[in-house]
Amino acid sequence: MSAAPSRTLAQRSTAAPRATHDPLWARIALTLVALLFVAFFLVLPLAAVFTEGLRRGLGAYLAAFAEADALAALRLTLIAAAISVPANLVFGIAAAWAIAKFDFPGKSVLLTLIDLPFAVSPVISGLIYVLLFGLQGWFGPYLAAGEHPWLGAWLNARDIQIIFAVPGIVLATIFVTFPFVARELIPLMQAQGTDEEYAAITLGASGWQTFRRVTLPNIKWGLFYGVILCNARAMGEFGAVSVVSGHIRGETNTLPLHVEILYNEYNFVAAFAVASLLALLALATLVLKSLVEWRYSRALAAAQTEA
Amino acid sequence: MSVLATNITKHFGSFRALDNVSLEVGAGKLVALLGPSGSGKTTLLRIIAGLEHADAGAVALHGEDVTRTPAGKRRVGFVFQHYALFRHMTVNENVAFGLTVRRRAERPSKSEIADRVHSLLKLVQLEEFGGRFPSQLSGGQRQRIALARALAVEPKVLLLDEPFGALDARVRKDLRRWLRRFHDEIGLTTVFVTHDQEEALEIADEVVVMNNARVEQVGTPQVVYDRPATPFVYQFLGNVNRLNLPWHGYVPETALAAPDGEYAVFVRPHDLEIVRSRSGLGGEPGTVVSVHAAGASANLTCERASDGEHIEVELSRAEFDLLQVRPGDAITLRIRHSRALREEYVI
Amino acid sequence: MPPVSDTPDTDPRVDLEIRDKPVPRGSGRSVLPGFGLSLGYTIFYLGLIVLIPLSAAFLKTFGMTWAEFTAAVFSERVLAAYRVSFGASLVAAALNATFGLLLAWVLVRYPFPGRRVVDALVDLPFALPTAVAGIALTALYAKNGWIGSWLEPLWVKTIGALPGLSWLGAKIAYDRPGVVLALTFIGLPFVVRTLQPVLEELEPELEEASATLGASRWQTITRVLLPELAPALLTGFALSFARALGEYGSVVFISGNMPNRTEIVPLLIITKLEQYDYRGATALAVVMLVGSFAVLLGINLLQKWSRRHHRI
Repeated sequence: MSAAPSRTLAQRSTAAPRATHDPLWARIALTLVALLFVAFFLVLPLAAVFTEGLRRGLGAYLAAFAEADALAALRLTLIAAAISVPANLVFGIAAAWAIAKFDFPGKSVLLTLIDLPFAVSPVISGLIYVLLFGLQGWFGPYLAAGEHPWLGAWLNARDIQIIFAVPGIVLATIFVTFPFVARELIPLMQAQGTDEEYAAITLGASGWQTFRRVTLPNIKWGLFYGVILCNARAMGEFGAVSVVSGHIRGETNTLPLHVEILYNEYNFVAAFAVASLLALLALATLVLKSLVEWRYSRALAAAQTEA
Repeated sequence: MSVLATNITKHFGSFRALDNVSLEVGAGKLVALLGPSGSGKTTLLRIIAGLEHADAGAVALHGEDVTRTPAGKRRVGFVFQHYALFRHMTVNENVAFGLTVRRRAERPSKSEIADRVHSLLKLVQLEEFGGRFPSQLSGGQRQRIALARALAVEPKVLLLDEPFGALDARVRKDLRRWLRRFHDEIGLTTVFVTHDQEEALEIADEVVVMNNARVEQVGTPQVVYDRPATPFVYQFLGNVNRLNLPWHGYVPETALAAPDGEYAVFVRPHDLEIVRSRSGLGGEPGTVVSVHAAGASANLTCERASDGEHIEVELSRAEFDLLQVRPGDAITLRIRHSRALREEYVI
Repeated sequence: MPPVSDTPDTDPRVDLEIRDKPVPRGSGRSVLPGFGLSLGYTIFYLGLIVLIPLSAAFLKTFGMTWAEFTAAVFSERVLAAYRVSFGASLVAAALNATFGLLLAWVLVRYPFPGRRVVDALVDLPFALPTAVAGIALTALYAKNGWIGSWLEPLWVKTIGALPGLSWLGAKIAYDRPGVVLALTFIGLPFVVRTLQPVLEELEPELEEASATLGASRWQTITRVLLPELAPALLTGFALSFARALGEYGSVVFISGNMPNRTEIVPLLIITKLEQYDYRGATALAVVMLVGSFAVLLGINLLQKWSRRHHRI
């Protein structure tokens, strides 16, 4: 027996019956309060970013981007995202495949580990890498000049530094963003079940073929959604990157860190100008997210009704 | 007249749910609103309860016009298909709910409420379950608690929306007989909605057959089954054959034959007789196509020789055992009883 | 009355939503390929990125003596930081619970033009980089900001004037109210997004049943609907609280970082790092980690409990 609604869709889509109606004055009042809250609390900060950035006119606004340090920060942000998003994409697919298509003990431990970055403060996310690779950390002595066993010598000869350099930033970014794709894919693939994959195998497809031609098309919206979220966080991460970066201008600053530097120098217009770029990124993320939610929920609903 | 709905019309957007429907329910009667999904029966019930408002028409309960009265004030008890029990409250609290939300002036004392709850639970035979939560009950038990909860506020009319729709077949049968005996005991005017014709025919005093936003026929179970007023009622309540004329040795009853000849003839499978071709009695020649004899009766499909039309015939096991026919045998079909009706609907 | 034969259903909770579809035990591994590869890579990745770095933190603190550890995590300044973090996060989560409930209610139940836009905007705190949020909020609520220019004098005149409430803060930005504001901002989506699906799935029949039994609209809301929403509300509150505890970027600009006043624990960790007090920073980080895990565990238990009690 399914819990089917007792009224048809046509009946549900029009005005709700009286028993579940609130009086009109209450509806209007509550809606207004909610809208005021949203305007005050969510829209105003967004507006402030753009207003402050344009305070001295369009010229000053654009000049903030022409600056060499800003461009370097932009480059570093893009690099961090370009490395962490694909890496986490592959991880997300692997984790979702293992968890959704197979049964094994310790699944819930794995799931908890995947959720870990959400429970850890960004500052700590950066700190642990400093502990690992910083001069005082475990591998630090191996990486610094001076006493270096074979790993340190190898790294040192190539002048590779982890902390207070780009690799550390990338690592920290990977840490804080790796759950996003996995968390989208795992419930999606679990809801879709394994029947189609089994069918493909019985028809003679290899593992990769099955994945590429059967699984991938089914999860493409979930993948896209996860990538959008992952990217937004990768480009916008501040706390973790702040700890590992060393704040070296022009070298180890991402866009959010550059914003901080400008702000602390009282260069408000430039700070807000750069911030507005990040805000635009956030808005684009929201738009893409809504689009995918609209298309994706239809696809997900279809997958569930067929299941 | 306990419930009187007059000329009810209701639209949901462009969808017409009820088209000028009227309903009369006598005091103390158990009436079934029977029809397929989308026929409007649930909408009518909800309008009587005050959960929907009709676009046109009036509702009166016990002579009092309640068209403008809100649902909480109509003194109707409503039982939902999926029970709608408050899952964070115990059974006792659920049943007592209607009494505890009354205004101070009208609210009974705590002990009175407790007594009333207990006697209601006893009435539905669940008096030990007072402290349990709905999630700990079976479907049938939940339905009876929902009934007790509706009765706690002493309604004048009881309305049930597909009360057994969410239950297993066996529980459904037992529970509907229980409902009939329950109704006989308390004598409250009751209207229930169902799409299950067996249910309606078995327990209702009166059946209102609805289809496509209209009432097709109102009558006792006997009447709607034996003398259906329209082809829809014929087909909805049990199996029926629609015959092409001419039929050898048969003249249709002229009772309902329209003067212009636009009628169709309907015969129930058990109103047909099969005799061996060589018996010498008149009738329509045909061949047996298939036989299903596992069960209380035997269902045969026969093909008419004249036009190849397939006819369903139902025989009792005794008749079938005497007859001894197999697929491929030549037989003669005879009509015992039929009805000619104006044909408005095509299957 | 004759007894009713009514066998209990084998499982009353028959209409559950789609759960994790069970894979036949043992057979999955041999039929579908890729188990070893996918699981192996997953564990390798997790080990490299998560486990090893995290254990570095714990192991480093094991290098400290117990006395050193307690000195690091229970000093005056640190205790004050705990108070500020905990208190501000609690207040922020409570504010989010209230306004989040209102927002979710309006979004689900009162369709209005532009609802989709507002719905998408709720995710802004998720999508906006914390540094941007930080400077934007500071700009707004500072004494010369759009809101601060009228709110701060108002605050000073009302709350600031009452002697017993000075601990609430003398101004908005660069004082405790600012911290609470920032933490409320970043935690808002948690409550709204947790409540929305529950509100959407609320059966109208419950409200109708309550109405036919004679309850007024207010009684229906308080006695029937709010208890249904309570678990989700609590979960949203807990998630918002957990997020606020660890927040850094949006707070660092508006807080002013005054020890004993607006210094939250993440800020203190950074300060210690800048002073090369790695041990102190790590010890504090371990305390935070243990606290976060405890909250996470609590949330999981909460969700399990609510699922068991409230599923029919």
